[in-house]
Amino acid sequence: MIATAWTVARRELAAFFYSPIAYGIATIVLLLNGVFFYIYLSHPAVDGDLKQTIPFFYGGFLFYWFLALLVPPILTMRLFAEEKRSGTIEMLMTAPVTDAAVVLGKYAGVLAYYAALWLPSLLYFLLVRALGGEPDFGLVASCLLGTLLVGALFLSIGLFASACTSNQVLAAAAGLVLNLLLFFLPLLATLAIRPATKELLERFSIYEIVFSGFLTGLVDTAHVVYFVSLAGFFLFLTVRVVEARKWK
Amino acid sequence: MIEVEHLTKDFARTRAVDDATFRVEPGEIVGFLGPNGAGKTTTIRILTGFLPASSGAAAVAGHDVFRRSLDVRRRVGYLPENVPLYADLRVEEYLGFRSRLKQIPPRERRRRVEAAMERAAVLDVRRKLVGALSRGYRQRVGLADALLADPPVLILDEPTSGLDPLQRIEVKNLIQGLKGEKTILFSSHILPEVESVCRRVLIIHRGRILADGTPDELVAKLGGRVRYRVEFEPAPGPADAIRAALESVPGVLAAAPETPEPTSASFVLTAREGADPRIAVFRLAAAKGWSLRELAREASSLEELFARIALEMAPAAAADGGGPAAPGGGAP
Repeated sequence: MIATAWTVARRELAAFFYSPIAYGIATIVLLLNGVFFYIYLSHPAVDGDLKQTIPFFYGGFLFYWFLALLVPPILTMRLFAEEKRSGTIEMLMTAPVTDAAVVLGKYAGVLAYYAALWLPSLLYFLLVRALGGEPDFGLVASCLLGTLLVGALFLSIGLFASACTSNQVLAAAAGLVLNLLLFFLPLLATLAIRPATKELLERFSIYEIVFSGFLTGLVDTAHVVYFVSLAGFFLFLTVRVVEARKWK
Repeated sequence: MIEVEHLTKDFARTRAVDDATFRVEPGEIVGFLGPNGAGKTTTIRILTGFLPASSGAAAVAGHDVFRRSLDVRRRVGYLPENVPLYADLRVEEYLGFRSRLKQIPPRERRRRVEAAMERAAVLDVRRKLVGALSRGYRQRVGLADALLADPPVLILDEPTSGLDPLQRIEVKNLIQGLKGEKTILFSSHILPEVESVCRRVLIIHRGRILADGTPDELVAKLGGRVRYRVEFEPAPGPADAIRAALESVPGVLAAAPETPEPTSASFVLTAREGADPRIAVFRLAAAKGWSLRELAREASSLEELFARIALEMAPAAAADGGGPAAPGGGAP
């Protein structure tokens, strides 16, 4: 199972590099990240303070969430929908591989690509250090972990959406809507009147968890478990949907 | 090697496979015939573990296709109908990916991929993108993939559809070359192709297995009403008179003018079982002084063969509440 999942993961990762969409996304993400990093760092209010720039860059500012919510569904939309549309799913599922191995493999492939989109941001801080700054790499690591966990969750949702349809555009749209719901519903906490409700909603708010956890350099096991288990839940649903063809 | 018992598959509104029972013995090459929508692909998808059956049982290479799906899939080389391949890979990359997916031991992969490419004659396109291949090459890459893990059973869904005549012959030869080595079930809707390759033929229609036997047996079974075509030049007289004369020939059940004109020059004869009225028709023409241009047995196409079987089976099906009675012209 691990071996076949690895085979599928490698194929999916390679497929990103054959597709113009992936290059387009990489260009946009890397370019905008670079520009925004420069803007944060040089903003008069921040005045080159890396302690503020790092959290800004990894989720403290709205722009980050624009990327975090929008990019995953675009990366995942193809994964199952395209196989269903072109019929290659039949080749895949009649090979001696389990449904779970296929889902895990595709997920691992897209997760690796997503990580590859964000890892270059480490270079910024290496560059800053080379120029005489003193970035706190512990804080960078915690922020980056938060980014990867948020990505892991939204990618699992996107994969689930892709398994539900053979239309890529629909898969991307459905993934985005689910992401937005999950992200914004708990933010209604600010409107909650009862303190207990407010606290509960905040506890499940992705933004809240990232902002008051990872971005402060604090890696809380509960936060990690929250993202990992939620991603696991959506992967489980995805396996079920892939299996569902058997119960039609 | 393939055992199917009382297999039934219902989709939301239709019954795609209806109580199908058949066996394929080890080493046999069996043709699976039927028109589009007859249930061939559904049956094949059940055998390859892509779809489950609604009821009944099927086993391939000794393993139940549903409960031991992975064991079955390890032992089956499958070519789906439209040969869906990843268009963004090169031929050898694709086969390399498939060899890993099929868990061929790393040491053997290279050799197996080479062997499969050679066997399916795709060595000359090994560096080409799958998406850029012609239909014939795609089909052969699909066959190479099916052969990759050297499985004892091959299930090929319409391996010759969409190919030009030359490619058809190549694929046919390839299948023939595997005779005795593999157990092969392949579907087709072209009778001569199946006849030339298979020892046994299964005919499926509306999900039911209507016939199961050697091509000879089926031909004998169908011999009942073979058709002949006779053409005169010039038309020797009024069509009605010629028709009456032809129908008086022993063995001829009916003669029908091919064209509606009152002076049709060509007729289609329906003959009684086992009868070959050609000599008698020639003598009739000679006696009357009609100049014969052509007199030939009409090769029975699958459509015809199949229509005949479907019509013959219809009363039985109606009797047990199956399909609707056949419209007119049933078995005598």
